[in-house]
Amino acid sequence: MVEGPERVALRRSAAAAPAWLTRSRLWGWVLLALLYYGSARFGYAFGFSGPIAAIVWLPVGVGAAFLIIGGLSFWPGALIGDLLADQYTAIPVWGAIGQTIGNLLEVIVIAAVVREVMRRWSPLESLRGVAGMLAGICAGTAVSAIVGPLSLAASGGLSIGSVPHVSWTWWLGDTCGGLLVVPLALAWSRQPRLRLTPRRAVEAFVALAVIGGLSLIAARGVTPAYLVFPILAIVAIRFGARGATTAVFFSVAVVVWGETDRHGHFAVNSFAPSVLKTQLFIVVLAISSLVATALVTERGAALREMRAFEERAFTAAEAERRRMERDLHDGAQQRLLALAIRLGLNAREATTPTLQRVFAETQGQLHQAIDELRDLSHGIHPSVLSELGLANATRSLAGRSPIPVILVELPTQSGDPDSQAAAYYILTETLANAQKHSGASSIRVRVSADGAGLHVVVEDNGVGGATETAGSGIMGMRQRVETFGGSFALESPAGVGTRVTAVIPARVS
Amino acid sequence: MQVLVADDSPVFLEAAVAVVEASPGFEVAATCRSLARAVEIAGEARPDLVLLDETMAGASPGDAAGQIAAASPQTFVIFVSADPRPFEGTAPLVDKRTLSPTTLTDLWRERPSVQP
Repeated sequence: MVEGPERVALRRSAAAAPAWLTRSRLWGWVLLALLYYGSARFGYAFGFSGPIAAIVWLPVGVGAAFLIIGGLSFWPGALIGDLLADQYTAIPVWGAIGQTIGNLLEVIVIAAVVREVMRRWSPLESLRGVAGMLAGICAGTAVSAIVGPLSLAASGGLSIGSVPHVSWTWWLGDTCGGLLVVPLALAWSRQPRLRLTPRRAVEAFVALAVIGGLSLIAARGVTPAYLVFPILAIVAIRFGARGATTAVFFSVAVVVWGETDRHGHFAVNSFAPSVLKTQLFIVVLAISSLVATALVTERGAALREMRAFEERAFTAAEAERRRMERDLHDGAQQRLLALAIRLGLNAREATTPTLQRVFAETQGQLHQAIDELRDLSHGIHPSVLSELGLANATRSLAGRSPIPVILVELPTQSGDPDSQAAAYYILTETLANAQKHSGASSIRVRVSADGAGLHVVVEDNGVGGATETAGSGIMGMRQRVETFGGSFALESPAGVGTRVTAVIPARVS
Repeated sequence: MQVLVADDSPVFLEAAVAVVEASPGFEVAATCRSLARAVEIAGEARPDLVLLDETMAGASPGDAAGQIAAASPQTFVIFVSADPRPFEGTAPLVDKRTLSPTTLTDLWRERPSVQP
């Protein structure tokens, strides 16, 4: 899965070219011209490009990728490369020059569109980015596929009648070149170095071997080429943009090699129907692989964002609980306590039995209010936890229970404050429920901590039959635990007793 | 008896002062709103008694009592708490709501005798 920082790095590469490239513009031109010319010669040499059109025209991808990563100002490199690559013996000079102009416009259009797209979206890791990149490639190659054949026709290098057919092949061949090289270059130009564990390296090797094998038997015409699709989908999922673009390039290289091996060198006039099939195969393969990669990456990123959001929301809620507890403790609680004391002082002045009774009743009510407030504030966030830790707070809770509580196990270390608070909340709720409803004669409490988190088990030997209804305290406990990503279980067979089990996973802060 | 009342809640501090003033034989020597200040005052004024808010005393009330004792060995410490819970140490702990002249004088009478 592709990690977040890579997305950032990839976007940044649109704005900032590598340092070595910006240092000398001239060297950039020379380098681009060589790469462009080299990839054209490579195509001629292996017979998948002809003087007119190609099965796959790699230079368009090389040129566009260079301008996308380095900047549009490197366009003269593409011009020089294309002029060098023109096969002047096969086509009229003016036609060649017209074709070169078309090719130059082509890479500039693609680069301009993709750079614009990259200002907003990652071109490989978001669906919008992929769509934008595809649109850019299709538009740019269309320019070349119109200008090139027309100028050849105008210079007499091509009959007017064959222009539509040549244009179509031209467009597909250039689009294939763009689709193969641009995403590949973008995926590998990003900052983070490739780091493969031995296991991942073996996985990558096996995947490439399987893709190579399937492509090879497909190229021999033994099996349909689309057998490679599932493997490419797996690679996209497992290895992200780099894996997917590399795998597609590799598969296409094998298939195209097989195509030229079987049908001889590509020439637009001896164009076999199988060329169209191969081109469409490349387009479909590249697009579906890009879309799969973007989908997987987007989903991964969305999931990470959601988790981060949940984490923040949870932390904020716990902080709010602590704040409320502090406010209650420092404010209303202290004021009521002060009132109780002053009432006690004044009660001594009460001389008549009626007055004494009124004072006693008022004091009773006041003490009840203080108790309720104390319980409320405990439920919100028990300050006892921050002071005593979970084990001692549980002892103190057990000490206050009217039903005898057996502490089977208490944790030696408590974990983070938030999970402690959740565990303590479970304890207070279950003990309160047991006291109110169970009629039990004893309660067993077990709280343990391990690497996975806090485990809380509370069992009573009461009447059982507790159910989890909406809005109940039990539902509240489940929700509190589940916001932690923990688990909660209630077993309460009638006549046997009630057991509550909660697991609160340790939180990494 | 000279009493130091230490509590970080101003509202409760006032009420506690009223209780001390209403207790025969007791008078308020000083008040303060933090443990550090309480230890300081104990060292200077050597009160007979400190009413110390347990929450304010921090994580370990036993330690807080020890600090007062170090500053003024003769001083008797009574903890008061809004939410009384058992803790390590020998100092008595009073639920804030039950603080009255009676509890104060009772605890004072029953204090362990301190060897000079």
